[in-house]
Amino acid sequence: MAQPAILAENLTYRYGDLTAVDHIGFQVAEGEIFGFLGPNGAGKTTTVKILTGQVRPAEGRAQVLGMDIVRQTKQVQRHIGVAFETTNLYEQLTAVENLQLFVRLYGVKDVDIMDLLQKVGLAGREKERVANYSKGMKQRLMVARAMIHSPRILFLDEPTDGLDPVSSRTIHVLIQEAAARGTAVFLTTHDMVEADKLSNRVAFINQGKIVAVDTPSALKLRYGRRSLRVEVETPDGQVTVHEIPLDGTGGIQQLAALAQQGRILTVHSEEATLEDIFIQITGRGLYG
Amino acid sequence: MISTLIGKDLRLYVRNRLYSFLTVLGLVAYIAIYFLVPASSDDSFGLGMVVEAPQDHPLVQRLMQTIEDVQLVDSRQTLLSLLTDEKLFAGMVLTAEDVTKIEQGQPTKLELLIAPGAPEYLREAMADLMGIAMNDLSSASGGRLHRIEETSEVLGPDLVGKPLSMRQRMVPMLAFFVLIIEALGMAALINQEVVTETARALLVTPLRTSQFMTAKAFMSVGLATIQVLILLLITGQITKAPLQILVLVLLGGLLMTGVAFLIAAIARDYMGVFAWGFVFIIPLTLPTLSVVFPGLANAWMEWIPSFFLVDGLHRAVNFQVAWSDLTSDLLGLLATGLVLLALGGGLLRRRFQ
Repeated sequence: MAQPAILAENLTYRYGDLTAVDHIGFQVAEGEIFGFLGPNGAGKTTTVKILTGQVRPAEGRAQVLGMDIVRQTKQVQRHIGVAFETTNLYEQLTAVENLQLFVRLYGVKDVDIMDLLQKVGLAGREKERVANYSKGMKQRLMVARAMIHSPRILFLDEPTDGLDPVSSRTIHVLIQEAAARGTAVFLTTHDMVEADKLSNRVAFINQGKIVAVDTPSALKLRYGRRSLRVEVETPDGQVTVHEIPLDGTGGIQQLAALAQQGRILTVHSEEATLEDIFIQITGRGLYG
Repeated sequence: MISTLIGKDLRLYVRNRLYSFLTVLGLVAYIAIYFLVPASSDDSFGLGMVVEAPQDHPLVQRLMQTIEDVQLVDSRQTLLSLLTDEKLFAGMVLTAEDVTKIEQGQPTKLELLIAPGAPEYLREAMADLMGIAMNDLSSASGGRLHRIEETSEVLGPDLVGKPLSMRQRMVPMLAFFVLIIEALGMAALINQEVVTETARALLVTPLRTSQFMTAKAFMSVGLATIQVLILLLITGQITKAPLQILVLVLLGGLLMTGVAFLIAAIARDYMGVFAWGFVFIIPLTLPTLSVVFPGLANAWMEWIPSFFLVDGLHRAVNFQVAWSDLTSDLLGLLATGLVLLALGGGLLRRRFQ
């Protein structure tokens, strides 16, 4: 079996008496987009901080690209890219100057900064000071900065939080392209639609603990309830809505019975969202 | 990496209009202050005398030679007026009878008039001076007092006839202010990097915290040194001991960088930088005052790290000094600078985690 890009075992981190990350473990493969889902304060950002060498775990260990993150922090950081939750760009520098700074810090050569800026939709504005950019533009530049040295692992902490659909879509494309090139993507978000759309696997984290890890479809199969939503118009002109469970037997017979009661107006298949499943597992919402 | 960061910091510094403006304004203001402060110093005793005996009397002539700085005043009333207005520190009325008594070696009672604001030590000095002068006259004119042979040795540079002007005394203080203001600016820049989390972005790259702080130290020392050298060049103060001055300023910059690190580590935000800045500025300024106003000097001030800087600069700028004359200042500055740098750097490192 190939060595995982990220291997976390029993990771724990405490802020005083509060256990922010509580003995968690998981693996992320190369080229995989791993969604890390949880509400605010669940421990997502702290986990990213541990895995990127910003803080030391109180217990447990993490290997990134086969290297111990505590003992080989700087070697690991050479190969990872991080886009933070909060915008932390040099606002008085231009986009090009911001990227050039990190090109030099990583010591990489032959980087086409303009090509990258083109991809994130900032071409034409590259000589403007970042202070003049919108939030979406800054966030796109943050992702570009994280990718400037073609890292083997990308850590993206809420990369599309509060962004317009166009900016979000641009970032989604970048994430998928990076994964296609073999980059492992550790994506923390509380946007279940984004996680569902992008992630190969997702982990639910709640109060510092991982409560479920699997592919989105497997989670839906395991925890969700598939059904058909049917709208029927009866002969007296009334419209009624019916739900037919698809898990189990007798679904087709129920649908046939409804067809005999009146005229079927609409039929929609319905499945649980990741948020439904999160609520089902933890008893709380992702935005709670 | 360090040069990359210095380049980035310089660019940010130049683009920050407030910092750039304050830097230029400060430098111009310090240079202006230097040239506005008097270039000469009045080192006269401020002693006035009304002589009611004939001016060509041998004893009066001898008195004038004994006390060279005495200002002859035409009447007791004028003398009182000058003393009340504190234009003179002390005065005396020498009547014809007094002159005769002194000449004959008879007991003489003289009245010393003191200005209201004259400090205690000056009153005593004036009384002693007049006593010695009169006894000297008495002895010379056949009185019974024994003459006392006096020898004197000036410890340090002999400034008789060439006293340091206020302007000269202020030079170390002005240099100190350039350095401390630069330290405040650096503390604000570092604090900004912490608060806006740009430092976090840098430190998840191969860049080490030590490299980050080294770059800041180079930037801080470099900017401060250049400004102090400009100040000293324009005011013409770098000629006497240029190498010694350069080393002192560099070490002073190191000390202030330590202070900047400390402030940046303690302060939570921009306002905190200035609040904590004052906590450091006030005690660090005290030794500079002791150079400008030597009467304020107190032994404990020599324990304040900035003392080594201002004392060293005072000697290097105002007197002909050799390296050996500056040994204690240079070593003190280096030691306190390294201690503050280690302390500030250590606290700052914790802040980044």
